[in-house]
Amino acid sequence: MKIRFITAFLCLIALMTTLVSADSNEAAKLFAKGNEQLSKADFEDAAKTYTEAAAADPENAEYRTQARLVSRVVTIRGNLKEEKDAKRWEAMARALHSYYCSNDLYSEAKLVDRQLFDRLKNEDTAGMLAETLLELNENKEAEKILKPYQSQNPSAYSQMLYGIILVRLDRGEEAHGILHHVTIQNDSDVQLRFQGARLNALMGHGDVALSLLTNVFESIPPSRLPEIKEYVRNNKDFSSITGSDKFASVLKTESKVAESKCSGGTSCGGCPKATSCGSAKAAKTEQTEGCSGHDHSGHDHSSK
Amino acid sequence: MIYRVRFAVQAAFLVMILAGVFLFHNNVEAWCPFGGVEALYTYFHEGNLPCSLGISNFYSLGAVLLVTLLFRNVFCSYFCPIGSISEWLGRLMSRLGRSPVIVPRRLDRVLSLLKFPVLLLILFYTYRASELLFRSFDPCYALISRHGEDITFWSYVVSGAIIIGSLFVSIPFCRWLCPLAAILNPLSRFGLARIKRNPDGCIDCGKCAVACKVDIPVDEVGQVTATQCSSCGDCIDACPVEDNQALVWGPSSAFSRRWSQKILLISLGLIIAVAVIIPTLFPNPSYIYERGERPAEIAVLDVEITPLTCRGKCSMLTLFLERDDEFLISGYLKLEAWPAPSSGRIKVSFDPAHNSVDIVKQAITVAYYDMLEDKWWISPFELSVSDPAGN
Repeated sequence: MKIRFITAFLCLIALMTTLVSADSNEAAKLFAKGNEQLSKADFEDAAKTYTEAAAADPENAEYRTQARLVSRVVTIRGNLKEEKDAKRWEAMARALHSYYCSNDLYSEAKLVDRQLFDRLKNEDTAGMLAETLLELNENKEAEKILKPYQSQNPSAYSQMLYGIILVRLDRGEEAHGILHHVTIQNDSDVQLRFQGARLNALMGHGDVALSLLTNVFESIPPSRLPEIKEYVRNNKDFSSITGSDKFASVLKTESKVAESKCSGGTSCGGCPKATSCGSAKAAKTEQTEGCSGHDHSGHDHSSK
Repeated sequence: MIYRVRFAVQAAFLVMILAGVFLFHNNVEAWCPFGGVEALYTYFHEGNLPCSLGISNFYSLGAVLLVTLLFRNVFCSYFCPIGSISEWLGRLMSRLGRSPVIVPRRLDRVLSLLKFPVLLLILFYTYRASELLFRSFDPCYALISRHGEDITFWSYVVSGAIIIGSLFVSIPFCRWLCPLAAILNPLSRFGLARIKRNPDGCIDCGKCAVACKVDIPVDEVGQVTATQCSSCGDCIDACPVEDNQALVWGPSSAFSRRWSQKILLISLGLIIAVAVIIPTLFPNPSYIYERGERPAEIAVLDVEITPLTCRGKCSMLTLFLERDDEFLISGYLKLEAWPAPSSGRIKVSFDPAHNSVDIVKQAITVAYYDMLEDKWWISPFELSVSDPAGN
């Protein structure tokens, strides 16, 4: 009798374990399906699939956060058409741009960047659109967008982007002028340093490009660094330097930015910001300066 | 026998802690009296508590201080899990025929001073960072955290050293390194109760001094005033003189005035009950954030939330509550939070004239794009009633 009871109990445990793992397998399949739908820019279906994956495996934080994020993107896409408030509309559009770029959905990014540029018609939105067009290899279109701003006291960043466009259009000599004209310091904006590295790589100035890249990698928060390194490895603008031994060494560069880890852990003891994150005052400061540790799929417009 | 009852109390307390940690996943850390010491500065300086500590830590600390003033370091001999385990290991070795190493008194006095720089070091860095930086070395935390995130290799090195040390020397950590003892020992000097010796009844066998875990020369004094005495009663148990004619425990007056262990246990029970009941009935939050002027009428969202394990998570929650998109909470806002290892609790007070409960819930759970930083924040928070998509 006792043996039968124990056997039945063990069978029940085995069954429950099987059911749990079956649920996890099902959730993983749904998640993979969601990824596929997302890659095809089918946001509505992706949001539903991710939500099902999260429901199938409620313990998996990745499924839950992805479901939330994509659902939010779907909501913003819907609300964008009807939003009347200009500032809110711009925030929504930029949110979509950030999301699309971080997920390599540049065709979608182009649509929203075009709307942003058409509404605001400024150098910043021109630069955003030009960058997206560069990702889509629509170089002539990118030149058409950015050229008018080059004669109106352009920013160093805008000039760098324009230089990249010129090189791609086989007008390297004009790009040379830009490189000589624009000064990049070690403490210049990280966006400028990155595009400077890109332009120098395109122009064949490998050492300068590598030096700038090292500087850029040190300035990017640790959570974003792998994504940026991967981008550099795969972007053809950097192809003149990615095969070298020096580049392999630059890839080993670690971030020098202290990033909090308040998305994980039961306390801040192991966090590099432990000595400065503790107070409410510090928390407010972080909100403005960037407490970058949380798990997210954000796109740093400055870093690509 | 005094020790039998004391052992029962030690064992019951340790079982209660382990059940709280492993079965009920309670926030046992919120009851640590030393946590109260560590949290004092941060609470008075910033108005909130580090990590997952709570107001209950202050009540525990208060209870331990009161008990020390009345009965000396009985917390150490009756309740402290490190002290209990350390003592049991020493007794086990004695049963196996291996007596503890006798540390010369002079060396013992010098070593016992080490606990003060240990305390100062812990408090200095803890107060400076407003975080429990020494969790990584804390053997107690290694036990109660179920191998939490802060646990490092050094936690187990320290724990291992205490265990091995306890096999050869009587309660070494408690005597020489415990930061809480650094606070309690000076206070216990003023304790009302003490071990008293009657020179007329004493036969000078010396068994009481041998039995003393902290090497106090009980047989040489009229009353034990040494600060490290924890009123454990081992000396009384060891005394061969019948009817307690040589050694008793009681108030610092005539030998004839004595207190029984029953009085001690009842008093301890009452003090602990009060220390537990008050923060349970009146649970003040560990984290408070307030913005704006309180309106005449407020609405409150009072929910369980996961994960809300520490003050860092509370800061992140504040970030979501302060978002500036369509889930903006305008006007008055107050967040009160009770972080805990499994699920925490929050109360969000807001102006119902401008906001609704749904807006607040969505502000907490829906992903947020920060235009200033060009960054997406995805909320890790689950409210007690919510769907996976955060709707």
